[in-house]
Amino acid sequence: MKPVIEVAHLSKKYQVFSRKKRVLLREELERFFRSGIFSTPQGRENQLFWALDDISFSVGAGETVGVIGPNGSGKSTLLKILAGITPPTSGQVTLQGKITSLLEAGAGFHFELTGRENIYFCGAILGMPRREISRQFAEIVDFSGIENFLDTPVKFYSSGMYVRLAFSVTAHLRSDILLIDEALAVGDEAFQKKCLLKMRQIIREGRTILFVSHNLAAISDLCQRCVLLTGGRLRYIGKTARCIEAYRELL
Amino acid sequence: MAKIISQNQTSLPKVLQELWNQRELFYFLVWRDIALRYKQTIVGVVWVVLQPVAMTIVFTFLFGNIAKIPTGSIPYPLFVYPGLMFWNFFTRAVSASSESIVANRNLIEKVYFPRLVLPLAATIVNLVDFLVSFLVFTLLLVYFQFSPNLMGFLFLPLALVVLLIFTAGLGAFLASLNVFYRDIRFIIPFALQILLFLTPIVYPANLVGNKYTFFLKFNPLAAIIESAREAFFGSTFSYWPGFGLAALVSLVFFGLGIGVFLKSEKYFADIV
Repeated sequence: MKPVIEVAHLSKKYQVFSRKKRVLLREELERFFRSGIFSTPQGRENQLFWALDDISFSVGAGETVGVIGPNGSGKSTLLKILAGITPPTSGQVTLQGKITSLLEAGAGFHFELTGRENIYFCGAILGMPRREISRQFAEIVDFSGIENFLDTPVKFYSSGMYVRLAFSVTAHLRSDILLIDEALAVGDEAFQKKCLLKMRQIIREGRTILFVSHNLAAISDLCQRCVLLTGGRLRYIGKTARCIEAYRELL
Repeated sequence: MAKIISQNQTSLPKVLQELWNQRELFYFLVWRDIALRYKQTIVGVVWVVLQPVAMTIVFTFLFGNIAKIPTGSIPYPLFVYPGLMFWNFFTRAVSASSESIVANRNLIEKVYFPRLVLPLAATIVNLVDFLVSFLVFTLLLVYFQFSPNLMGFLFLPLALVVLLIFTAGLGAFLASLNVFYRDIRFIIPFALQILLFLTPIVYPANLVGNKYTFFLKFNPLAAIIESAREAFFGSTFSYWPGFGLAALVSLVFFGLGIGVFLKSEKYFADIV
């Protein structure tokens, strides 16, 4: 069967800008009009940093794959590229189907808007049509447990209420591929359990999930396979238990 | 359908397709802007009316009564108001859209959506204010018991469309430039202040010496405002060539602005 996510030789280079070298707008404008694009400044090769270095793997339909690794290993960069937020420097990703990402709970929320308004707005940002949100509205509210504060601006919410609502909106989106970054590290234990249940339901629905987490218990609970990243390189890919073992050896 | 992510630029048809697919987002951004703007204000929407009226009063006093700028048979407030309508739309739209990417950095860094909706929505939302200030204009006409040419009302939408094209292009350009160089944020208020006086808003264009009228020709704002005023109050309408040139300049700005935006948008999430 055709893989749903196919990552081929993916690399991402970042420039580490040093604060000292200030560039004048005039110089930059000159360069801009000469080259026609916002090209990478020359002569700074030594300040480059490879967040991802030649990563290749694929994920089949309905699979739940975990991505683990220490801080700064490139997990979030990988998800950002898959989500289309930032382009890779080289290599490519082929995706079959509609993708949604939960990179940060409540990224689309606006503090001044009410919970109700934010549900619709967040849905629109993530590409969910209005009637779809309306259809799922009751379920989203029910899952988050904020019925009584639906018409209160979210700036008055507790942080727990805020993330519960945020997770709830994203989890109810209809998409084929779901990218999740640390979303389970939110809410109290009861809500975390609810999240795990919801994730299992999503998995049963046959959607493909790429799940980044430091919560190894959740990873081994949900994922059949795992990818281990260290320093931007793919260290191991395979059965979750093996992968976690390899990760533990590193620590 | 397979979606391929690589370092290559997105093509224009793909961007247009995406914009069309997420047109609801556009509607929501405009709605959010309107919903947010007057939250926690006391007089709320009255601000929309208050601003052009206050400006008209101050300008009438300064340029009508003190400087005595000749406006023929037209009362000065009526003379200055249509220009201010267009000007306010322009300044608000340019200020808001140039900040739109930086102000929504949390979205840019965390979610993918066609980035172009941000400056475009920030521009379009000002049409609401324009409509309200136009209603105030009709009230002013009643108050001064002045009947303008019907041509003015017919010409107004056309002038607005050209202004919209110009503003959208300029706004998108400044929005992307602002991501890379925050100097833009300091230049804009200053540049707008200067432009207000370089554009025949508080004075008629014929007051400008022949030596300088050449420069007015390439300022789309000048042509839009001057021709709209002539359509409302003039005895003849001779402004088509000037207006045509303004439309052309606006289209060039639009193409360049959107082009620069689309070329640079892939770096937004990394730099903003």
